Amino acid sequence: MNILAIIQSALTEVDLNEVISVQPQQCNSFTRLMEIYRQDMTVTQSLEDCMAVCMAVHVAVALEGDPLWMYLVGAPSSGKSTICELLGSDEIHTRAMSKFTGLVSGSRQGTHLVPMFQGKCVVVKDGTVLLDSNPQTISQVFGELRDIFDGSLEAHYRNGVSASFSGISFGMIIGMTEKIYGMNMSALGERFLHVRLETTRDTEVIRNKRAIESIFNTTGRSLSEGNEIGDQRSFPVQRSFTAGFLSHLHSKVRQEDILKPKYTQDDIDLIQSLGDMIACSRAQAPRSREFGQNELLYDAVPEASTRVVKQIARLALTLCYVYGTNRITAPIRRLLVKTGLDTSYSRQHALIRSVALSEGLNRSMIAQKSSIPLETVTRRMDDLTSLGILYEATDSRPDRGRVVPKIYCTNWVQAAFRKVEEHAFPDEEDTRPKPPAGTNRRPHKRR
Amino acid sequence: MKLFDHLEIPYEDDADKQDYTIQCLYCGSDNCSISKADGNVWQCWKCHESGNALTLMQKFYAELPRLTPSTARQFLAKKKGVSFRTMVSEGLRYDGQYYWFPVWNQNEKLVALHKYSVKSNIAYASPKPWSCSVLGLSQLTSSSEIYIAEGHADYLVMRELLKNSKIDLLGTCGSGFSGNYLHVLRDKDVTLLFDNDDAGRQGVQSVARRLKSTGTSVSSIKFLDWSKITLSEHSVIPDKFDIRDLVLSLRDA
Repeated sequence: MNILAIIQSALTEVDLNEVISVQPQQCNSFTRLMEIYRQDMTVTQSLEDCMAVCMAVHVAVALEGDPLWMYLVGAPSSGKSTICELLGSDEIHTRAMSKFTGLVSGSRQGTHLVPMFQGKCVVVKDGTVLLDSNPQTISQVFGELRDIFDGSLEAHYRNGVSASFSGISFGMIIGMTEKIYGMNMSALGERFLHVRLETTRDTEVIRNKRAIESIFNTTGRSLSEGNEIGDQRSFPVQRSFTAGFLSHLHSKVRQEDILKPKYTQDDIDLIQSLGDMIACSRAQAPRSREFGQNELLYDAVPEASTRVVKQIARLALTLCYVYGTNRITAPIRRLLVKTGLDTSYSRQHALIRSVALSEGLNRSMIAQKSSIPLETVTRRMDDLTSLGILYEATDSRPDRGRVVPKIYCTNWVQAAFRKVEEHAFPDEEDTRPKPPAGTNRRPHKRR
Repeated sequence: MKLFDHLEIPYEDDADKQDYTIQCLYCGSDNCSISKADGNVWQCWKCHESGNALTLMQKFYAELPRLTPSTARQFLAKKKGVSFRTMVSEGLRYDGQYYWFPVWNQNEKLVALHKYSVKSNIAYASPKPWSCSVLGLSQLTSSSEIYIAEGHADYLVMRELLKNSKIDLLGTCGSGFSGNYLHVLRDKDVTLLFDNDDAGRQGVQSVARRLKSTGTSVSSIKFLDWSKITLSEHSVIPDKFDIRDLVLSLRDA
């Protein structure tokens, strides 16, 4: 009797995708999760907000419709990787990656990532590497992403390798440094929302103090020297509870009726305004790049806000899951506004905002209010006028001197920006003091 | 000194002195000092041999009497299914009290010594940091398949079974796999032959978790599913059944 053959016939393969390396701890509320985080981490309001938004993106995978894709934007060492690693704790619903360089492989030996992503939330710790690639690669990867966002992808390579996928849906959270602002994909249809992880000097000092104390007081052995608790760098306790909370959210979607949150007309108006604001803030006027010319080629229009409105509405729904509520509450509205403002974050946004909140400004006043050089303002004004976002008009001829035209926002743009502003600073009157120079590029920053 | 306790080398620990004193393994004099401050650096003041814990362990192993059929008898009686030939080829030695298992690294250097007492039926690994718990590293080839047996006896039995195959074999102390040696499993088809008990089943999960959490990519990982094995003498495979039991059952059948 061949004993080896008997052993071999009784072998069963382990599916490593089903293996959990983080043992989830039961956690049914976001508040409780944040309490657990505070035990070992410096939890700022921004980190809490980013975590809530990212978890909302995570759970969106379980709901039908367009997926939610999010850039988690922050300065280096601001905590993006920590958030990504914590989200990766739920190994059942997450596909965690350190880097991302494309969905399909043109190599005969290569493996396509698309099937591995299906139904999961892809969390990429460092997406900035992709931005460092050559323009062709960037264009190819974002082309693939645009296709797969709508659920299908067809790729054919010159070496005969092809890939065809349909009915695909997955969420994405990509950690990015602010380098992402150097790339505007709106003309090709931007699919990503942004959420910014802000840190202040005070936070940094507190975090550093804790790190120093931790090194002096609680440094343990390395894993290879028999540390059974786990590497403290990866926050093992927080990982377990994050896995537990995400698992709770996904179970809720799977086992209970889908939430139908209560909302008001004001909520609908806010989401519409956020969509309009984002569309205007990232709209690009086509300029000639040839032979040193920089002329406007034609009058374009901003992207239609439908996609982004749907994304924000889905975010609102999934935030209801995260906060365990069945209505659009003030914290949810605040996060929607934060996401909207973070996605809009640009000089262009600052310019439009300055005009939208005023009753008409001339160029030098805009430059002064937005702390942007007059030359840049002038060029941007041309773009925004061409896009139909702003227009120039002369109120009346002055008694003496030349006519200085004022710049106004188109009505719907002004309404959108003012609506968002109401929610961004709900406690302030219209006559609120102006932010100090240099800070008004971040109007959403908590004060 | 845990290592001396493990090797059962008597040592003098005089609190007033800066060194431990042992009998020199080279010249037999009582003038071999081991620095307390440096941990494991030793020197004999008579024969002037010196070294560290590893060289001491290597010398200790070299001095052990080689195995003979008569000295192996107790082990073979206790661990039926193991062959004398495999014991010799694996370098087991017997000092009258313990059977000593040498553990070699991939460079064929002795890095740990495990001992097995027939009386207590317990195997002891050498203490950290001389505690390599993976047997068979020195015999790894470029084969794409690796079997991992749980415990010394199963390892010896499997070594005999696989002698004409192209499958590599490793042994572990207990149902797990040291994180320090996961790299040897990279890109291999790994098969875990752990016992039919809770520890064995948890061991499979533990190894899979370690592979995943350390990003060690393997071609595949399989385990011996005892529920798929049928034996005429057992309607259900008993708890704690292991490879050696299986081999004995099938040989007797």
